[in-house]
Amino acid sequence: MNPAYGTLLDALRGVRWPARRAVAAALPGAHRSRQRGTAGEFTEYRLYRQGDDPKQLDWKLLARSDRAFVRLTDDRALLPTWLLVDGSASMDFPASDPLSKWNVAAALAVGLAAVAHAAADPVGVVCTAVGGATRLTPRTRRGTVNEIARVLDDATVGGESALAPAFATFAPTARIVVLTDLLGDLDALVTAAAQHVAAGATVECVHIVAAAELDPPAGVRLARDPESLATERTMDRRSVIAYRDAFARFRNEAARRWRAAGAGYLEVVTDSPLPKAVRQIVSGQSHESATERA
Amino acid sequence: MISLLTPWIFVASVVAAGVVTALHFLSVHRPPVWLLPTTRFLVPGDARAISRSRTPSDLLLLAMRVAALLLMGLALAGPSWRSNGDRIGHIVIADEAWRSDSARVLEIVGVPSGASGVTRVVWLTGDSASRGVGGASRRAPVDVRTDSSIARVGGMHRALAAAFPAAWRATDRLMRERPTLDSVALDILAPPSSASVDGWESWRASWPGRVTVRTPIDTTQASDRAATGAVAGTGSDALLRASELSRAAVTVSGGPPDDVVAAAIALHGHALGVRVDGARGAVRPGEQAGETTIRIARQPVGTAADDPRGGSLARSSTSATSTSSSLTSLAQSSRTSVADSEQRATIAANAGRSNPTTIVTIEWPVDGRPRGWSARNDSVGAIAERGVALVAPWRRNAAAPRAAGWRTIAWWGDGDAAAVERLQNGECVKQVGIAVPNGSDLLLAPGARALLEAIVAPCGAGMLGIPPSILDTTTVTPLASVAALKRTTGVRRIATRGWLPMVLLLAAIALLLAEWVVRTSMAGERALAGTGSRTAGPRAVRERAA
Repeated sequence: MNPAYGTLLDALRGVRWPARRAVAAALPGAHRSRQRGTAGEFTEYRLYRQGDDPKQLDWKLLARSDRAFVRLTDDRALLPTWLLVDGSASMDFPASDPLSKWNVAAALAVGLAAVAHAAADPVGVVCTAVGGATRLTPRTRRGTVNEIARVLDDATVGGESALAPAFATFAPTARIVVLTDLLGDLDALVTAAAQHVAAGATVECVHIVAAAELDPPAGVRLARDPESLATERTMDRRSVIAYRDAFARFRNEAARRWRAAGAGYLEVVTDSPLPKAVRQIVSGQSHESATERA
Repeated sequence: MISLLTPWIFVASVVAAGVVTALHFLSVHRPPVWLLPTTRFLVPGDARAISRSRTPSDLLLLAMRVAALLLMGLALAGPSWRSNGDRIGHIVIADEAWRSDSARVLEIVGVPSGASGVTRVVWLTGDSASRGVGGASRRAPVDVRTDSSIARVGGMHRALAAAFPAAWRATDRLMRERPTLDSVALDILAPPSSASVDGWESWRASWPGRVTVRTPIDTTQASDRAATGAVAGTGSDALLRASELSRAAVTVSGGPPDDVVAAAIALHGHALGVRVDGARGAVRPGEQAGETTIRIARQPVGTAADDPRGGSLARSSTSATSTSSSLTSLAQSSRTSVADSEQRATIAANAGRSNPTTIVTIEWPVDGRPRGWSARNDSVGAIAERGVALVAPWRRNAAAPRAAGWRTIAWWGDGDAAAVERLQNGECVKQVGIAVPNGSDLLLAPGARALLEAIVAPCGAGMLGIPPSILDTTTVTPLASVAALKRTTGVRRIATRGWLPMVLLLAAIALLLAEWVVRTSMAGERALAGTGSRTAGPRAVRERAA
């Protein structure tokens, strides 16, 4: 495991990642389940209806009140968590930089995996990089976080890879976190996310933005898209001003679309502290707009 | 060794090469590539930018372009191979009086032996009206560079500045004959005196280099100085004008009763500073010594009294006190007037006095044909003297003699002498070949005053000694360069017709063609290098083994 993960994991010790809504019925876990049952924590009484199991009657209450009631309790279920990490060529920026978008995405993925695993939730990862997508199904056993870290460390960033097809393998009730720079198949991704949200999934989009993309350095350069080498643009002092405006509009539009799809959206700059970003994700701040957060 | 006809063209090519070199430092080509994932958000534009670089780009192209520019400039600058031979030409403008001792002239001006091929000596006559320069036409073109007066090329006695037109013509011929010359040295051996130094400064300023001016003050030219009557080396104060004479008495004899010359002198007498005695003029006896006596004889040639000075005229001695005894008797003819007798008496009375009297004898026949003049019959439009022209339909009946010793004091409009003078045995003798029609008022006009002044003035009047400011034997000023001389004369064509300019031009063209080929090939290589693409690997989903 990358030694840098150790600092992050230490900072995330004790952090919980509760589900935003009741999860579907599953193995017992830490999240409130939509299913009501007789095991677990007592929550309320309900009048006995024909068809109920007589064994669920509260005889003592019947004796006291001469009325038949059934005891209801809340179930806790597991919430499988999928981490979808974008490993396309655009994520390798700045190249060979410890704070490249890929390194930040990988660290966030490890941190989220550790938080989810700490709550005994199954966590898996899908990484799209050179050579295709690498998939690790959600699991809860010990060492899952290390395996996820190893998968991410072994991935070779590059090429053009689409993230939307990975949604087809996700359970419609899972919790999905997409860590990407949104410079790939954004439309298909938002559509797939919206479908899963409608099906009951919880989708979070973590938009990784490099600090150099927000504020390019001064000087005259010929900018070239690493995923489309034919795309070349001259970058000078005047064109950078228009570039900043266009990029800001893109990010705002992306946030609007993700939230409109029912998913959460959080923009993380590569030079921002990673533990803070993880806390923002797990606390649900990704579902709040920037003004609401302020 | 290569010499350039127009070096400034080569200098311009050097400057152009410097500009090209500076442009190569600007590196006007594609800026450095930066892989930016968000490139799509940049505004599409020209993928070129100007940036500075510490080292010039495309060194091969730069070298070829600079070399082509320098070769082109060198070719257009008129190069020529020049051996280490004659590079300095020498022009000597000398008064004709030096002609008999030309070797001494070359010695004085310092022309090295063996350099006669690049030395030109021009002899200027003392009388421009009779001979031109080196046998050229008398009607030499008038150059209007002089400040005033009508100076004709040919004689430094007439105008000192006449040396320069002759120098310019000789220099032009020398430069055409010797295109390999670098510079030209100009030496002027001026006469001890000149009628005018007007225009000297303007002419001197036109020569773009050193001009050495000398006067033969230690030579046999002393007789010339005496003949002209000028005081050499005394500057402009030596100007002797008839009007500045304290006293002058004019007598006119032999003419008709209504002689126009006598009338004109009587009319202009005050302005001329002369006094006419009586209708026929006579020197009053008892006049004080120191007066100038001017006798104008109007008898036609061939009359009994054809010698205006009289047959018994005694010749003066060379002693200082014998000047006044130069005229001791008048002509004994039937036309001798009482005034003439009185003049003889006055002259005899003046003989031996310590303050002698100057006598000027003027032979001005009525028909305009003095003794010794050849017959002629034509008309001329003007008479010029001392920078003033008297324009009128003059009748010319005689041509001046070509004997040595006569100095022209007035010219016809076509350059021939109209009046001459000379010192003869200490006497000032003048001959005027101007026929004034009887009853004419030409001499009565104010414009005739200068003509009469030149005629009645003593011999040598109006001659100036060469001012010391004109003399210059210093060597501080550099010699006039051929390039500067050609710029002044407006020479446009290239004097050299050698092989070197063509070779340099062809070399420059070849370099430009090679530069085009190299540039085209480099552009193609860059285009191929810029179209590289990456291919994504096959997409596959790998399951991590549990």
